[in-house]
This record gives sequence, structure tokens and C-alpha cells, in this order.
Amino acid sequence: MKNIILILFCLFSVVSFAQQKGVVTNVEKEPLAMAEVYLYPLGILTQTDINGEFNLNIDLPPKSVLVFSKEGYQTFSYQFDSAEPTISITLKELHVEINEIEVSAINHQLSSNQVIALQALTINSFNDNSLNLVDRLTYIPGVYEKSTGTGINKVTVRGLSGMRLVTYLNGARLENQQWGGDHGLGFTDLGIGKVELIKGPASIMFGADALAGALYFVDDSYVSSGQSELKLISNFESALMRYNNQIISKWAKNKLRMNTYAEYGSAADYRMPNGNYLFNSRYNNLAIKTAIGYSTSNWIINLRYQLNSNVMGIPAHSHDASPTLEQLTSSSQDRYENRPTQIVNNHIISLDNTLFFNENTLKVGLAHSNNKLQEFEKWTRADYDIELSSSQLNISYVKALNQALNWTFGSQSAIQNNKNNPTTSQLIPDAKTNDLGVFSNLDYVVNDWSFLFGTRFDYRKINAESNSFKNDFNALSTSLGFSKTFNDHKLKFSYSSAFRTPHISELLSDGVHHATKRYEVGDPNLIEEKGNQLDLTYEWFDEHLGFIVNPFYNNIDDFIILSPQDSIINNNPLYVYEQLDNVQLKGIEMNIHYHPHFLHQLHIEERISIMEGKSSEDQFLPLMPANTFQTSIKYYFLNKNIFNCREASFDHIYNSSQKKVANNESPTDDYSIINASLLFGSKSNKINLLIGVRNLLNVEYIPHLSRLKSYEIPHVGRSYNLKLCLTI
Amino acid sequence: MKKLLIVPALALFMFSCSDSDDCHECHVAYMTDAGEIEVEIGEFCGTALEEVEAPDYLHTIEETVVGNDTVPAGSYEVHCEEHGNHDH
Repeated sequence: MKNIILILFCLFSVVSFAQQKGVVTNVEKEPLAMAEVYLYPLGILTQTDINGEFNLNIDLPPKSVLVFSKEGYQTFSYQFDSAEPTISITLKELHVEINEIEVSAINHQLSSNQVIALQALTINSFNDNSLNLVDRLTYIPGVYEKSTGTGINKVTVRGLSGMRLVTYLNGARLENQQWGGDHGLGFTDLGIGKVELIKGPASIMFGADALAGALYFVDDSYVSSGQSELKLISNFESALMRYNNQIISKWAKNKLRMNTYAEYGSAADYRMPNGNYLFNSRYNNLAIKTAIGYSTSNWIINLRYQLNSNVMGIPAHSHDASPTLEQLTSSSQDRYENRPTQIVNNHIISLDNTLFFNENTLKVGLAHSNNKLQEFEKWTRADYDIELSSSQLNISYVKALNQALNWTFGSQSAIQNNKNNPTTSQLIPDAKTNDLGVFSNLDYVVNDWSFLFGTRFDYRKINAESNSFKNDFNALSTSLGFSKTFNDHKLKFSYSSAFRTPHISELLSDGVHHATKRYEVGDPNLIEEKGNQLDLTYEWFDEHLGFIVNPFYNNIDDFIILSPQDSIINNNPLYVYEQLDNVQLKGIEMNIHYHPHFLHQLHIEERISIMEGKSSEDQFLPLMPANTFQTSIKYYFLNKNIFNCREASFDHIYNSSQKKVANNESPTDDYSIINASLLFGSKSNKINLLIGVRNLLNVEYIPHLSRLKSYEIPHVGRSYNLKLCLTI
Repeated sequence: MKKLLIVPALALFMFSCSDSDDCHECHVAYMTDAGEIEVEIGEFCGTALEEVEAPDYLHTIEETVVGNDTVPAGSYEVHCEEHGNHDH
């Protein structure tokens, strides 16, 4: 035991750091204090001191990138060179910046070399007036929220969601029964630093299923060696009487660093614009999370664990087949646990290793997750009790063939085990799923051109012994594209193909899905969906105006839908999984950013998402999002007082009416809502306070993707938001 | 390092603060064309609650008048969740 302690002591205490220094200034050569310096790929964030100076008191691996940012200045990335004695960085004043990405966590490319349709969004826990994480993601054009009240939310990308959208958390694929329309994302913004999104088929990087794209959440940064931080974030939302508290601690010494997080939140039934409350829309969530990182000059290891425990009321419950709005709402607001309820416990543990060999990089990632989903209509027994465990091994090797050409190859494998509690009823059977994918990508960057060519083979085996079902699926995916930059213009074009195997819920369901009040029946003869997408992006920026135009066309063969039938089983309407020969999803997304020269602190941004989905029989597809027009006006104050107003923000969201609906689907009216907020902060940035209001005009509206639309239940009324962030 | 220990300590505290409530008011639901009529059948706790919530259990009631409606005598499924539009 003594030897082990001695080895651990030596491992963690040997110090041999590169004490490289640097300075950050503006164009007038004045030092910039409190500028942020992000060390990629270590995930460490440090700041410049009052003289604009910073110390890199850690060994950086080869090809490290330092990302410099400061409010009001353009973000700048710098390729680390250990031969340079002092790093001198000059930040220019910010004018127009739309896409936040600098170095992608998905493919480690600089944004300037990016070929695929990749967008990123910083997740800030304290200056964000969103209702929840999914609501925040709708700031990305093409992203929509599918909700069941305010507690259960799913992300929809270009009209597709559920099993078609793959979600990753720091390299670990999330498996949380996402096939169900009422099964939400399952975690909050606790400890999340940013999200990257690939819109459209992304099988080449994420394997089978990624037909709609992939969401890749990246953890919050570590602090640099010798620093520690304790942060408290407290949030109150009036319409839900929701309180949510997060506590975050960060610590780093020498080569070791550690972040720990805890969160507890509780929401009562939400208040609708008419002053009544949606009964049983209450929920509470508990989360703990930790990340431990260790690095040397040629090895980075991160061990992460997180637990999310959510208890969510399922609203719109009634014994009536067609309940009235009055039966589903209440004149008083409660938060105690009721039935029906969904209880979800999700554990995720992952271990990421990155090894550097000269110019080449080997990544080995291990992950295991356990998702327990229980749905209760009764107090003493669950109607469903399903446990899904998933183990993953991801290996990739990046070989620099020359200065311009990188070859990435590797494999992703997973074993999933879906198990029902034998004492409860079953909707989907016990099943084992084995996945294996091998891939190869070539990235070529020369002058202002970037090229990508990738190919991948995936194999999936599904075995459900109880249903005597055993089947293999396999397919080849490809992706190719280019980007070209010329002066202020950038053009990107990509083609990608992907496939999705039918999920066991689509193949073998046979039972009442209580939360959706449907009797669902699968079809074991379903075959793979196959998608092909063309995506074009044109970007143009000058000093004061910038825009991105992004048309897309996604053609999917053998598209699986859940189709309502004209019959009732066990008092529930019958829905059957069916396959359409072919569907097409097409649309355009735009982002315009205007920054007037006469008022440098003012930023006006417009985000537009337009799309439609049709089958080859010229029928509109169900649950296609309405067109969205979001306008954000932000004003940054330049006061230097001890405590001052830093940012005023005003958002107008217009959702057009949705009349392009499927046969059994009702249309939705258009609506506009206004959100506004003021952010205050101390000079030292230790205290931040956000005062916000959502749905300022108390507009009564029903989102087209709300699962409560059929009951004509409106979304949340006017709600005030108070958020306090203290850093100790 | 002390700051690092605060979060796990608080998380443990939060986990230890879970409450339990094993008693619930139950009712039978009688459906009419005008909607559902509930007949309250009292509070059930522990194993008694498990019994009335068992899959095949039916609760027998006499003919009962609820407001202007009459629920005929018979055996009905028991529900112990609360519904909207109720005063608590």
C-alpha cells in the first residue's frame, strides 16, 4: 500500500512545466486585463492579469491551440510554438461574429478550415435568459424544441429528432431511450461549456442513427494550475415558481485538475397566460458531476462521471378520452409529487485518453452509461421499468501525412442491453444490440481551400430472444466536401450520406405507452432508413455586417413513421410503425448580424429557419416545425464602475403559422413573443445578476411541436427570471 | 482543496433529504357522456394502498350520489392520483 501511495505521490507531484509567458494587448498596444486564454486540447481556461500578461505553467502537447477572447474583441486562435519565448497577441475590436466555433471538439479543426455544417454555441449559465438547455439551443438556426410542458424537452434538428439525432457528452454517446417523444434530453446545463451541432447526416463521425445530425456537448473548462474557484448559481423563474441552485468547484495543481458540480431544482405547475396552471407539469431534478484531468507533454487523460435524477410529472392526464382544458388545469399551483410521473436516473462514466506521437495523435475513449426509466400511473408499482446499459469503446488515430494532409481512421463499438423489470408491463422487449463501425477520413488544407473525404462501414446486430427476433444491419456511409475562402467570402459545400437501423421500439413495440396515451405496435420487417444530404453555406462578413445563408436538401428513403389507425386497444388509440418509400426535407437557414459603426456597443442579429418535409406521395410530414424568425438586439455597456449594468438584451421570436400538416395533424397559428433581460456585474466579475422576463406580453400560444397541442394547452405565460452568480 | 470538498458534501446532504409519503386519497372514476365523476373512497396507506392499486383489483361501491349525478353500484378500478381543477 505504501508503494502505491508513493507512486501516486510521485505521479501527481513531479513538476516540470514550461513556464512560457505571454501578453495580450489591443491594437493601440494597451494591455488587456481579464482576457480569457483557453488552452486546447487540455480544456484549461486562464485569464490575463492587470498588465495583460499570462503564464502557461503547464506542459502543452504538440499542436496545442490557444484561444484568446475578451468581451468586445474578436476571438483569436494561436497555434502554440514552444520555441517562441514570449507569446504576443493583439486582439482587434469586435464588429461582427456569428459562429462561435474556434477549435471544434468534434473533429479538432479550426473554424477557418471547417468543411462540414458545424455550428457551436457557448452555454453560459449566468447570462442566459432561456427557460432550459433545449430552449437555449433553439438560438441555433434549424434547431427547435419538442416539449411536453416545461420539464420534458427534446431537441429537433431540421425537423428530425429522437433516434435520428445522436447526442454525445464529451465523447460518450448518450443512450436514454430517446425513441420516446416524451423522453427528454435528461440533463441540464450543469458544467456544460459549449455545444457543437452537425446539422444533417453525420454517420461518418457518429455512426448509425445520426440521420438528423449530432449534438456534441463539451464540458466546462478547468482552471489553471495553482488556482481554485467556487461558484454558486441560483435561479428563480416566476411562472413555474422554479428555483434551481448549482454549486461548482474547480481546483488544479501541477498536472492534476478537478471540477465538481452539484445541482438541485424544483418547479411547480406552470402558469398559463390566463392565470391558471397546467396540472402536474411540475418536476424536480438533482445532478452531481465530476471531471478529473491529468496531462503531461504527450498524454491527456480525463475521467468523468455524472448522475442525473429527474422526477417529472406528466401533464394532461385524464380518464376522459377527450378531456377539456378545464379538466387538465388547476386554479392553484402545486409542486408535490403526483401521478402519472416519469422517474429517470442516468449514470454516465467516461475515460478519455489522448496520446501524442510527434505529429500524430491517438485517442482512446471508454464510456459506460446506465439509464433507468420508470413511468408510474400508480403509487406502488411502475407501469414501465426499463434499464438500458451501454458500453462504448472509441479509438481514433490522426496521422499527419504531410503539412496539409491529415488521415484519421479508427473504430467505434458499443454493446447495449435493454432490460425490463419482469414485474411491470412491457412496451419494448428485452434486447441486446451490438454496434461496430470503422471509418477513414482525409482532411486536406491548402491555401484557402479545405477538402474532406470520409467513408465508414457500420454493422449492427439486434437480438431480442423473448420475441425470437434476431437481425443484422449494415451500411456504408460517405461524406465529402470543400470550403473556399476568398477575401470576406466563404463558400462551403458538403454531401453526406447516413443510415439508421430501426430501433427495437419501431420493430417490436406492442403495448400501451402510458405517457403518450397510445397503444403502439411495431413492425419486425422494417428496414434501414437511408439519408443523403446536400448542404451549401455561403458566408460574407465585412466590418459592420455579416450573413450566413445555408440551404439544404435531405432525401431519406424508407422513412419510418408512427401512424395513427382508426381503432382502439385497451382504451387507447392504436398507432402502428410504418415505412414511407421516400421523404424530402428541404429548407434554408440564415443568420444576419448588423453592427452599426456609429454605435459600437449595439448588435442586431436575425436568425431565420425555413423548412418543409414532404413524402414522395406529395403529403406533408407530421411534426415539421413552423418557420422561425428570431431577432436579438444586444447593447453592451462600457461602464467601469464597481457594479454596473453590462448588457441589455431584447429578443423577438416570431413563429409563423404551420399549415403544411400531415393528414391527421391539426394546423397551428402564428405567434410572437418578446423576451428581455438586463445583466449586471461587478468589476471583478465575481458577482453577476440577471433580471429577465420571458413572454413579456403574456401572449397565449401553442408551439407546433408541443405534445400538448392536441389538448389546446398553451405554453408558459409571462415569467420573470432572476439569476445570481457568485464566484468565490 | 477545501472548496473542492464542499460540492460532494452538499450533494450527499441533498441525497439524504428525500422525504416519503405513503398515504394517498383514492377514488373510483365513473365515465358519463358529460365526463368523469369521481367517488372518493378514502385514504389508503402502505400495503392497503398496494392492494387497491393491484392490476386486477376492483373496488365495490353502493349507489352513490355526487352532486346532481348518480354513480350506480358496482365494482370499479381505483385511482389514487389527483387531477386538475381540484381544490387542494
